[in-house]
Amino acid sequence: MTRRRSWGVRPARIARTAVASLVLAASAFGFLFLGEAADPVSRAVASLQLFPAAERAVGFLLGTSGALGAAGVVAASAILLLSSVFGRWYCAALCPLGGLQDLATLLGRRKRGYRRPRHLLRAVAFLGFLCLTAAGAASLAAWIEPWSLFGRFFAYDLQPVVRLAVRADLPGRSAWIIAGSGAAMAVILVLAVFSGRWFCGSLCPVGSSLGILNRFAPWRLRLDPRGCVACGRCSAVCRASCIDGRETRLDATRCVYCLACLEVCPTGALHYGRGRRAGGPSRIDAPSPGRRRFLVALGAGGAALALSALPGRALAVRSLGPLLGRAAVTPVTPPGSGSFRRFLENCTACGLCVARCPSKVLQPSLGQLGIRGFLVPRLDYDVSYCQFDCTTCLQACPSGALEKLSLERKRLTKIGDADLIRERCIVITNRTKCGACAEHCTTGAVRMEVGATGLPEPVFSRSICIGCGACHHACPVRPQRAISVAGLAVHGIADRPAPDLFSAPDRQSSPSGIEVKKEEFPF
Amino acid sequence: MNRREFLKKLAAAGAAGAATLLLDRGSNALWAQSPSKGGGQTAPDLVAVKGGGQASRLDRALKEYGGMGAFVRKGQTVVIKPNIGWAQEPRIAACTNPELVKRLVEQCLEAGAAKVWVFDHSCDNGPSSYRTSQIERYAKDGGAVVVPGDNSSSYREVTVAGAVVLKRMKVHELILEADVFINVPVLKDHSGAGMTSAMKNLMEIVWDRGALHSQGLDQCIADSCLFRRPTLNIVDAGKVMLSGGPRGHSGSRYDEQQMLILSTDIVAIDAVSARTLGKSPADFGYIAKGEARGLGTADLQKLDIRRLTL
Repeated sequence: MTRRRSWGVRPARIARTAVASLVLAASAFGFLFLGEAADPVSRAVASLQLFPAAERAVGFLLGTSGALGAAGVVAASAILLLSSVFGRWYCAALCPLGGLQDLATLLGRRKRGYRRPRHLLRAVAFLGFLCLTAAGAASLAAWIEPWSLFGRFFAYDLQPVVRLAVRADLPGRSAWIIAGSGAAMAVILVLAVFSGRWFCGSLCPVGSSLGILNRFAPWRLRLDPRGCVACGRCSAVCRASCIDGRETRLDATRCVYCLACLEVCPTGALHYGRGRRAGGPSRIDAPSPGRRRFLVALGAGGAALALSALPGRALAVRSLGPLLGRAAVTPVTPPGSGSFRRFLENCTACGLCVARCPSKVLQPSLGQLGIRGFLVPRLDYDVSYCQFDCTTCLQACPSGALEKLSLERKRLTKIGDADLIRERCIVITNRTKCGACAEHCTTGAVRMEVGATGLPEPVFSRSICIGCGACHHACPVRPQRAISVAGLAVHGIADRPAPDLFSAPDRQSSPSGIEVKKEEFPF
Repeated sequence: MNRREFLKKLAAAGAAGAATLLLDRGSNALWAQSPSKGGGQTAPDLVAVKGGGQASRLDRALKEYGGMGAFVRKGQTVVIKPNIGWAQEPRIAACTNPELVKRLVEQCLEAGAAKVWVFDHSCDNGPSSYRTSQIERYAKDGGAVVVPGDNSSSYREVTVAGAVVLKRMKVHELILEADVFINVPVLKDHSGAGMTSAMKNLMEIVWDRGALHSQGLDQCIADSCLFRRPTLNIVDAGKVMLSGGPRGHSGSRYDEQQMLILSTDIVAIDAVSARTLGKSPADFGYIAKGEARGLGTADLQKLDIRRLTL
């Protein structure tokens, strides 16, 4: 029996290419753009990424994430639900790493072929990913997660190129960060050139989850053996290497919905839609032992995740945390992260906040946050300081690791504490005017008051310090600064400065005591 | 070479020499000392105008010199250095008033300037400071090219003749390039230096501010003024922050002076600024140090000061 080609294949392919291109362009823009304006398209794309959305959803279930977490529940369930009914379109259109790999495949061979599925590798990768996520090391797990891999490469390898091109300053970063992010992407793209979407069908945890949903979706891409003439044209164009045209087999768990096969199929045996009831089962419906093992493993993994999402996660973090490393001085994590621990559990280290941070104070960690905090952002006050009126990182974060605090609340959020060591201050040691710390202080926590030296000396009020690092950054004393900021393991709320902090007349009176009348010239 | 060629070359060389003399950066200081007179009388050492608005005060002050033409010649390039140190709104008066910057840009262009640049090396994040202070928008409206000051690649290493401490520093390339250099700070309290006005504002043409603090602030402020003397200094003393400076805090006290001070003498204008802040020039080490390096006169008795009210 021969059928004609399915209706609407060409428009569907055009639409999928258009959406994938838009997603790729918007994501790239979000990570590369150096200006301040956050654009709604790249933000929307980031909020629709499955793993960050799932992280937000888990935060909501654990009660550590509010409205943002609820939005994550909606986004993640919508993606999972739609995929389980209509198939794995996500990987064709919404994943920027998928789009990037599609670009790389253009450089590779035109003729492809079927490859056997890597069930064991997939199961190990997926379970490893779940275990690490459950153990509160999302950033380590994310070494095989598409959004974070994409982000790290764009933020740490490509954005510096853009900065160089426009003569903007480069933040000094460890070669490990640049090389690690670049190497991971290089491997994926080289694989894409030679083996198409191999990563998506063998390692990607998002791909594995959606692949299994696709396998059981009522509407999906199907190969009808009765119409198939085994010409093999589909296998030759399949970038997921999941169709065996000669044997009339389609591995639905790996198909990424590029639709190339639909276009070349001469008979219409490959089609998108519901299965036809009449006739025997297609070959796909007979599970192989390997596939069964994979399914069992996935089921077990899913159960593990569900368990770990609740108290198990906190328990795992507590027991594994010390093994995974802890820094000597508490590093400063961004406002909205709540606490050091919560941040490490939720941050996938995609680097979007780092890429967007206007002052560049947000920098990826090397070892400062321990092993599981590799690439997780921290505030590096040697580079810059947190801007008082800025909430850019909070707006950018797609994983819910940073709560969307209001500007009012962010201004009072205490992320660290300054430590003033007078014995190091050059006003005391050199008897010279300075005051760089007080000059930069946003809240008035550091002020200058005339002291024993006869010069204005810094004084510090801990209760109104928010730990923004302005004083730390401005202090000229080296190698160890006279004022430095350490992070708080659990963030707090600072007091509001007293209204008359700077208006007490005695402190500000002129040493020469000259009185000025308004209407006259004062000289 | 025939006679015609020789004459042509001679004329060309003469024109080039004349142009070099005219455009030589050092000569700006000479013009600053002897600007063309307005209304047949001698140019003042310092003009202070009270009342009116930001723009009308500037116009009135420049009239004493016969207009901006006394400082900006046709076809010259101008760099304007306001104080855009902080991401603070104009009402905080932590940055130079944007309306004043705009009017200044317009005055320069009306005088025939080929190009007017505006920049500052902000303490807070550069783009946010440019935006929040509204100086970027107003300067562009006036016709200026607003240039970032937060890239180290824009700064060039120079030696400072006559400097005591800051013998070498990195200054913004526009300070080297522009024919005319106009310094337009806001007058306010300063937690470290005591006061920031014209002299302190020139710290921000330098890349490494930290070094300036650690090597003795007063001397470094004086030294940073030595590299290139501004053609003109214009101090915005409209709303003067008396406490909580330089950033400005919710409890900061203010003095509504509604004044603009204009002078070619950076020491004199800081001495007058000190008085305006209710203090004495002697309270600020950098004023004395600047005077000692020949940057100007702090003795107000010796100066021709014009006090005008609108």
